[in-house]
Amino acid sequence: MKTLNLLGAWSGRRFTCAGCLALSSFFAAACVEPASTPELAMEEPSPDLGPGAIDPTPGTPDGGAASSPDGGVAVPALPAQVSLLGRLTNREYLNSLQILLSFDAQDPSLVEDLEALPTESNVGGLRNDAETQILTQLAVAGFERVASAVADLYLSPARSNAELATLLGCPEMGAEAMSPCVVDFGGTLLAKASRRPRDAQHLAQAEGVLEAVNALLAAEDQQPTQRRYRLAQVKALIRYAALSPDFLLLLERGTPAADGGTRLTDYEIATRLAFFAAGSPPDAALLADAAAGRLEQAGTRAGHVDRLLETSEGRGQFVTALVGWLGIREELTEPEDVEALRAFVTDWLASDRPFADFYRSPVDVRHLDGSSSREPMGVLGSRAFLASHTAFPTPDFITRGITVVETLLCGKLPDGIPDEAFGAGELSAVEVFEVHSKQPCASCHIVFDNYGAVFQQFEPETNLFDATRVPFGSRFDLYAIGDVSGVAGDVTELGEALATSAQAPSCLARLFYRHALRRSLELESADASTLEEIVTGWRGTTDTSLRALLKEIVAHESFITLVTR
Amino acid sequence: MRLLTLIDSYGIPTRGRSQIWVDASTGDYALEDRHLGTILQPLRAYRENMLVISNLSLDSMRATGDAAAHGALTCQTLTGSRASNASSRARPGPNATQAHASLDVRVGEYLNRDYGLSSPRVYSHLLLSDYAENQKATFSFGADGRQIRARSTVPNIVGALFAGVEGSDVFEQIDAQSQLAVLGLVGDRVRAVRGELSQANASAVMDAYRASVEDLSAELEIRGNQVCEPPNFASIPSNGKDPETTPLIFESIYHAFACDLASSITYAIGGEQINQLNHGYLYDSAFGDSELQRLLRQNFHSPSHRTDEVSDKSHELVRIHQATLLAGLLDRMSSTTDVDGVSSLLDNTVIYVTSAMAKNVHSVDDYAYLLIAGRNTGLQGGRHYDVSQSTNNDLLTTIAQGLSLPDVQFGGHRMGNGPVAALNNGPIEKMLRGAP
Repeated sequence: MKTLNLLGAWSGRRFTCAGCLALSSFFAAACVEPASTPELAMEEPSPDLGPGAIDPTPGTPDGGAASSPDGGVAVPALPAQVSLLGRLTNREYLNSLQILLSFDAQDPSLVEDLEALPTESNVGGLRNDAETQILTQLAVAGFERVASAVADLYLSPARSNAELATLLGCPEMGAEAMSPCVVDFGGTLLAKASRRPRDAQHLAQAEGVLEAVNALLAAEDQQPTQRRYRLAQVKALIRYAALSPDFLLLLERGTPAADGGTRLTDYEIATRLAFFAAGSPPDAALLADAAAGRLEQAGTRAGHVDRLLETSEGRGQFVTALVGWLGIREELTEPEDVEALRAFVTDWLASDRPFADFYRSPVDVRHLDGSSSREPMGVLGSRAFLASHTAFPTPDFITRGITVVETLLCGKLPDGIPDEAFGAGELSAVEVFEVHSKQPCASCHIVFDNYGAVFQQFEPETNLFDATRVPFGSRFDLYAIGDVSGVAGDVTELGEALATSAQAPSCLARLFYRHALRRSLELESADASTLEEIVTGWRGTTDTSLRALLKEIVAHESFITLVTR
Repeated sequence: MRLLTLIDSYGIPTRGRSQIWVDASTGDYALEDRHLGTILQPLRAYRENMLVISNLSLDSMRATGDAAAHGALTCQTLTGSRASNASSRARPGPNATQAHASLDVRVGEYLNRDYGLSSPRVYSHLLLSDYAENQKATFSFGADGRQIRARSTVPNIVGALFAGVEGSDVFEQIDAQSQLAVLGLVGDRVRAVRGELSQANASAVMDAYRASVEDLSAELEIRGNQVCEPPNFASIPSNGKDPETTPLIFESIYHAFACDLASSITYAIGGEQINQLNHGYLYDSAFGDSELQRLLRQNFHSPSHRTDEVSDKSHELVRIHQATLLAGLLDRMSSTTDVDGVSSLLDNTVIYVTSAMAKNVHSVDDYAYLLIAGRNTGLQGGRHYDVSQSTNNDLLTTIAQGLSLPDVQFGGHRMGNGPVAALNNGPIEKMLRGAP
């Protein structure tokens, strides 16, 4: 018999907007109360640590989360500035493999295998959040499959042992089961894979792999000197290199710092900087500075950012990060609109334009009447941005308002949606907007609806602009998020509010700081003071370009800190 | 024993349930063909295997204070527990540290580990999807807190699921053994490095890495001994929006069971927010309704929030199509001999056709579920069951027991405050074979 008292179960529930018509399945949360508006609203660390979560007690092997008195999981005390162990993103993995083995990632033979790479989570615009990069069996299988396919592609030109020797860079293969040529190749490969100078350990690992393969061949009574078994040896080395934690993970052992803590070694700094600024392993210039011990110097690190931003890889890295952060959904967007947005962001970055231009530079806007114009809306007027945040049948004003508040301003959304919020029936968007303006809905929707309503002149089905289209009204009070508040009537005024605020650039700084250190959203409380220092340094000069921010981040002490004491 | 879970998002429209689902939703009774609505008609040959369920509410969602959003409801449907972080769009899903195992994972793990198979199947559990859907992948955690194996998109399913199943020559055997040897060395390297690191989460990451490498090795080892015919698709659409993906996934499911590769398979059928399966091909001009054609062609999520007749019709057509595909799978399973050499695949299988929402617009009352139970399972088919006096947790317990699991309750967990006792009242006895 069912014994559940549903009324009783509901009685303890706290929410204030029962009956409101949010029509929003877009964010899963239950309305409780509007967020306070600190300078940079940040979420508290989640008490719900999933797999791969932060160890509650660093240095304690197998430290599990302590139980709270009620049987739940206690919130661990997270030390600030403790580095996280992350793995390469799919893009970084492929870039690294290409540098190791010089193959064409567009080769048709790889197409199906590349699909096996793990699905990546996009958390707050980033795919490299260390906490979400869980190494499941499927992920390992995917990396293994790609490594195996790349090995086959790399070895495909070797139709004889002589050709294989040439491919590996040796004068000859030799007759030994443990060919010096293959051993040497393996040692070099594993050194490059680990992103540090070759040493005896690399050679020992290579020999270990070859011994394992030779043992298999001996058991099957096969000769390792046959060409195809030489290939098997090399393939095993490549598989090992590409799956080794030294390659797949960003291992950081550190070295004692002057303050008694632990800082990254120079090669670890080079690695962190290279993946941050180019999405690739360190290049020759970075390795040279690492070898010379120069990367502890903030100016040297900032210089590398300057240098890498002049490369297509460097610019592409940050443009991709920004487009991802803006939540561009290719399935909802025309390719040419994505290209236009990328071109806008690339120009803003490459020309070192001030931060404010991100939200108020002129962009092409297409009108409902077939004409077009240049409007000072920045990314907010981008068709790719508008189309990506049009979640029919959720009214656009909700979707876009949430995006502005949560993503562009790092504001905290109200915490949750009651299920009554989904029973909207057949109301029009305007009717829903009106209902939301009254209590109890207003207590939640006041936070974001108006931020979305300013986009009203973009017709929701086509995203074409019509200056006369004002279904929701003419002026909208903006809920205070940091120093963004006041009244806006259209996208241009919203863009101006963001461009001239302190909150919007702080939010951008948060994104790239997380990007640099692969930090989780949950750690933002711990990072608050560091972020404030970085933002102060950046905004304290006349140069408010993204380049200046990126240099400020890598120059900050936290960029090279492993453990603070 | 095996479990196939077909979970869709949007449920069955309530308008005209007696025509599209089952004749009468109240009371328990023996099913006759005349009771079956348009959606169930394609399955009528398996009427005696059917357990048609009406009047179920997602009690656990209310009792655990969860949200009525897609991720949370999907989680609730299979776990009967609160989603871990329903307030976070980033990470919907069950609270792994509280061991909120979902039914499909729990059944898979039990059958593979404790049921007494002569050798474990390659996969204890598989999650299949038309399209890569993080939201679906993240709700499925095993009791050990690690994500279940997931295979998304048809090319991945076919490529990864059946890779290496065929026999091989000496060179290929060497290659396969070499692969295992390398994985062993990688595992050794992970262990060696683990203690050297200073990063805060290092031990957790390295432990997960090592366990995944070991699991992969074990899977490859089993697969190396597998002799089975993989599916042979003439062409595989790489676009997850292609309607052809659905029958191909059914085909993959058949081969996975026929090859005895998996104990539990979950197929997130019909698409979710991310998926935009085009069902336009189901439109018949005789319907004479261009709005219906438009709805079928667009993201299935869109009509899900409407309650008008046209939207309901689009749901009905999609459901009928899915039932027809399921009937095709049942035909093949009933004519394929299982590994015991005696019974059919269907005889040893339970198919759970469920949905995250009872009907569109996020309703969590009046769910219409279907179980198809083989004759060797513990579930009593051929009947309609009115379960208004039971909770969704009780139903999960019932299905588990029907598959021989010893579980006397299922889920009911809140966030850190222990389970809600009232959610678990034991199995729904009348659904179990041999019940009075």
